[in-house]
Order: sequence, then C-alpha cells, then structure tokens
Amino acid sequence: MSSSNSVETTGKTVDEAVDQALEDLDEARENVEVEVLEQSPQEARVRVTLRETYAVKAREVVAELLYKMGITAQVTIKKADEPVMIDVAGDNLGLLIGWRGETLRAFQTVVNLILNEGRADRRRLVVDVEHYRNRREETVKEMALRLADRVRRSGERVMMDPMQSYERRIVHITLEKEPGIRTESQGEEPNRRVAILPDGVSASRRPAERPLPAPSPPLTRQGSGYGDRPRYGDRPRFGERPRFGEPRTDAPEGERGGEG
Amino acid sequence: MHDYTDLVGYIIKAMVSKPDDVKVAMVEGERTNRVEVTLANEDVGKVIGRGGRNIDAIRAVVRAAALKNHDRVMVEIV
Repeated sequence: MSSSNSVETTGKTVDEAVDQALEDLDEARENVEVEVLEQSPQEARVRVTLRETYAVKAREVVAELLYKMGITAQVTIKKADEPVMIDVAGDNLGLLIGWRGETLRAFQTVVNLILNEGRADRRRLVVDVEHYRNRREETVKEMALRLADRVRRSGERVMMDPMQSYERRIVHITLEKEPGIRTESQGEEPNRRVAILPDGVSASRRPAERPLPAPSPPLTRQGSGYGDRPRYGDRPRFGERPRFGEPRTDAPEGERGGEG
Repeated sequence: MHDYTDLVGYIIKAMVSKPDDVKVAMVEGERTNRVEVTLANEDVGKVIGRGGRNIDAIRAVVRAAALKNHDRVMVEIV
C-alpha cells in the first residue's frame, strides 16, 4: 500500500517542475532528491524522489500495518523533524483509537518497535488518528482548568482520573502558572493520577499573600440530607391521600416515613 | 474466521533480530482462536517487553483488527 516515492514532472523551468512534483508528493523540499532529466530553454523535466528518511519509513510502516489490519485510511507525514508525526485520516477510525486512545497508544508502540529494530538511536514517533490527540489535549486542558478553579474555591484537593504520562504532563504544564494551586502525580502506573492541591498545603511555599479561604462550617449529616423536607417514599400513596379540605387524622403514625 | 497470521507475522518479524526463526500458526478453537508464535529465544524478551508492554500492544492491535470482523483472537508465544 506504500504510495510511489518518486514522480516525474515537467515545467517551464526546473524550479517550476520541482514545485509541481512537491505538490504531487505532498512533501517539503528538504525531503526529496531532484534529478534533472531534460532541460531546454523552453522546458525542464525532472524526477523527484523522496529521500528515505525516518519519516518516510515511518509512513510506510504505518500504512502497511493498517493495510494488514484491514483498515482503509490515508497516511501522511504531518511533521518530518523530531518528533516525527504521522497522521491517519479516514472513516470509522474509532476502532483504531479505542477507549481513551488505548488502541492508538498500542498501535504507536508497535510502530515504534518496528522502526527501532536494529537502530542504536531510538527515536520517538507520534501517530495521530483523526486529530484525536489535539481533541483529547483540549479536553484534558479544559478539565484541568475547571478542576483547578474548584480547588481554589473549595480549598480542598481534587484527584483526577488515572491518565497516561503524556496527559498528566499536559495537566502539569497547563496548571503550572495558575495561582493558588499546585499539581502532583500520585500512585503507581497504570493508576497514576494527578492531584490538584490548594497552595496553602505546600510546606515549601510561604503562606499565600491572599487570605486563606474561610474555614467552611463542619459538614453535619442529619436525616436525609435535605433537612426536614419529606422524601419521595414519605409521600402518602395516591388514594390514601387526604382530599383537599379534609383533616389529616386517619394516617397511623407507624406507616409514615418508616422506610427509605 | 479471518487469517491473522499475516498481521502478527509482519509485526513480530519486523521487530526481532532473527526474523527467519519466527513461525506463526493459527490454532482454531471453539470460541476463540489463537495465533501461536514461536521465535528465537533471544527475541522472546523483546517481543514481551518490560512488564508485558510490547506483547500487550501487539494484542491490542490484533484485537482491533479482529473486532472489525467480529472475531476473537489471542496471541500467544509458545
């Protein structure tokens, strides 16, 4: 399924022909080798070949793997320099992403294993499917900011759900400059999670300039938690309900509010 | 049932130092089918990975491919 790595184009000048070829290949100039086949004052003919770079090889491996998985998709190089990024686009690729990107992460691990075989220098390759990473990054950032706000207002720490190291890093970076709170990763993989703590808890910092949030009244739990409000089960059943104007006398004490 | 030996073979052969020693066979069971892999002793560690990281990733990729065809496949190193 690997697409052709070489094209021949013509143009009025060599540059024009090369530009055309780059457009056909969807590549940047630094990734290709140019061979001038013919050149006359009127026309130039060139062969432009993709250099066998890490990115090109990565794209081939991704395309081959997808083909063998029976998945039809378009594979492009999104970023050719370190870390190389490969984009996969197509329909119904949710399967390749999996729950919270788990399958995508596995796919990326496998591609990296193949590419790093026999290489002394380990390079990292990032595979993205349908911009999942960007979308997820935005979600994580929003969630982090929202929870940070909650911690600031309540003065109580919040534990986020377990996340991958890459996502935890996004949280730490996003909240780095946020006042009044700090972040910390806690627990062991794969259940390592970020804790967002109010600043005052830290021993390493001087007490915050702003006053600490007033201590909230102790939480006391009485009755149902809704004060004296009757609960659903307390309500007399239809039919037993006193009619409007009737005095409520007949209900025996034991039958009301007993359960729940 | 689709044949997953090609996919498994491609992945494993591409990541080991002795691809010629890799043998992949499909063993059909009643409900689940196994893809059994034999490989050179020195490559077993690499295919499994630290804490099973690599074999888990391979299994997840194969599972995704199988899910498309509503198949259940297990990848085992024997």
